[in-house]
Amino acid sequence: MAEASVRLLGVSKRFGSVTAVDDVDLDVFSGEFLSVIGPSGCGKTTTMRLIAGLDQPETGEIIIRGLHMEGIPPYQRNIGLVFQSFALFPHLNVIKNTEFGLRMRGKSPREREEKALNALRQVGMEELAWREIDQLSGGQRQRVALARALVVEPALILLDEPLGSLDAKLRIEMQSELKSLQRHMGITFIHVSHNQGEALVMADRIAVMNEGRFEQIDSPETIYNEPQTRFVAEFVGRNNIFDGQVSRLSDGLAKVETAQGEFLVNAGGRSLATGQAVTFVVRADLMRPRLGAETVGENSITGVVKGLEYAGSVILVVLDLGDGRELKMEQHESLSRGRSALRHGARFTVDWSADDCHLLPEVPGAGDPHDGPT
Amino acid sequence: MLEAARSTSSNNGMRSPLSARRPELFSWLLALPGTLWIVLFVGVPLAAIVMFSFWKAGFSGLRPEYNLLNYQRMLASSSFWSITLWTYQVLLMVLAGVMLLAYPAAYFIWRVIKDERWRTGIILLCIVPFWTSYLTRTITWLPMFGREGVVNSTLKGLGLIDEPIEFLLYTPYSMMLALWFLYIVFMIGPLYYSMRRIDEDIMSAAAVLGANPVRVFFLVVLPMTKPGLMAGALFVMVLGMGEFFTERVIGGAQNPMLAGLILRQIDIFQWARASALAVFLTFITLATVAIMLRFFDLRKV
Repeated sequence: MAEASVRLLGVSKRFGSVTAVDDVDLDVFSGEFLSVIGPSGCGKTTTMRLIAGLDQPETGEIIIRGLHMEGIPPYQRNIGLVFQSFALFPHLNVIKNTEFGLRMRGKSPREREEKALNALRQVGMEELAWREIDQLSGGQRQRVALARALVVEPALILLDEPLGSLDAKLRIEMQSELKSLQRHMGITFIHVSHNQGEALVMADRIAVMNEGRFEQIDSPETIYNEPQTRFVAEFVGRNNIFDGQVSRLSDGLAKVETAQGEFLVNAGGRSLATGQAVTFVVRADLMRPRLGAETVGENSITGVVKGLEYAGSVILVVLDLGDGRELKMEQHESLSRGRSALRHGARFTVDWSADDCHLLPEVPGAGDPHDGPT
Repeated sequence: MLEAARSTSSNNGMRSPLSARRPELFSWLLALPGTLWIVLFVGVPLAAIVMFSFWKAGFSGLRPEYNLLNYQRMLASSSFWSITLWTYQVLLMVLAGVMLLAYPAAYFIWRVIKDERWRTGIILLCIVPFWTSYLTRTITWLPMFGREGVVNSTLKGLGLIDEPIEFLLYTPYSMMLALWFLYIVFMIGPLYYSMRRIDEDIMSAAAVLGANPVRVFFLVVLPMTKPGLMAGALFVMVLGMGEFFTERVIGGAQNPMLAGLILRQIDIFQWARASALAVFLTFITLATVAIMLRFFDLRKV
């Protein structure tokens, strides 16, 4: 994992007056599964197109396996690319689609067929090799697109929202298949998605992108548990963000005064000063409803139930704290079953402990979030 | 699931009392005006021509004396067969020329022009000549290519020629040029339409898989625009089969095509023979279309 397969150095790309990718650095290691996530228009697809050579950067360098890519057209880069639209050739059947890359590399018909069938076998599509593309379902097309990218044995495969047009059930199925395929073949995958769930499941590392820059590049666990910027905290998972000032310090605990009240926060080894402005984050699933009289954590807050949303086994509760402020709480559905307190308009108290709080290493109100330490 | 969604959405759609109570009667009524129109204005004349082709023609007009003489004489005539052959020769050359001229034009509008307003503008420019009549567009070539026409006087003015170039008008070459001009838009339209349907991602996918621009063109763009080429070819062949005026006015009326031959029979009051020719022309036009349709699926256009 030590050597870099893909390296971006100070890469920028502008479209007219819009800076799609803004002075970006990135190292992707060999054999790694990297997911680039961000909202639409954050520059993730442009980053991928720059790596593939479909767009040219204005500044910066792109190095793939030690080779500088400047002036090298996409057809000489030996990269696999899977589009959200799959972009299969409608005039060719499954096997002709799959062997297209080999045909471009001047391979003999025999070798082409053998390797194409092999690639189709890997994605479970061998039996449908002689089908026409318009006879395939979405999931099957997805597999053919993948086989077509795999067959040329590229050292790098780019996936642009590869599961975006599949239904939910199939998407989850394909996630684990993609991941095991990538592990098995040891190919570097760069996966671009706006779906954080997909990235959290598949990626070795996640790069969170916003407004043309990477906000944080870390393992899924770190991204999820220790967001480094407000944007990451807002984009990944469901978090409650509190801005406040340190009012008292003792034993690695900080008392933070916020608009919603005073809360105890575990400083996590950070040296804080009284009066210092801080922002901390508490995950919605760490918020515990107070069901009896006893408190479950050092901190508590009371609000009125404003929204209830069932997402399978999980229920999302939105509490109205007044002043237009909200608090999000995620609970396993079974825990709240039959609790009359969980209904619209009911007053409700939630608790959380000081250890559940994660301090952002960012100064709140510092203006542009890019100016904060990231 | 999709099917179910579709059927419910159509059920929720407009609901007229008649269509709800008697759907089969309602759809039959809807089809009635169109059917009547076609029977009246296509079916009846066609039947009349088929009937006339078995009649006899004289100075006093058509006489309903049924016989096969018109067809026997037509099929036995060697000049008839050479004109049929010539018709196909001309149409194939028209087709080849129109394809070669239209493809770069459509490709240019598709790949080079990025601004949608310019694209529409150029397409419109191609269509504008078709707002004038077919005869006007054909006659336009006369002042262009005549002995004292624009081309000759320009070349003469530039001192490039002393005598006017004769073959500009009243030759098969000038006829071919005029026919290309007449039919090119019927090729550009379907071609451009089929090019527009090629997803940008498909072009990118081919490039990333290792296809250079030349190979992208020949292995992706060309095969994917084949339906457009075929649709354009159908237009050109069907319209060209009825071509009579260009050959007369620009081609010098020396080498008639089949439709021109019909006109010449009418000129000499041979209505019955003209009808037999018309039946033959209709038949081979249908046969040509049938053969072309065997090679591709019109539904893919």
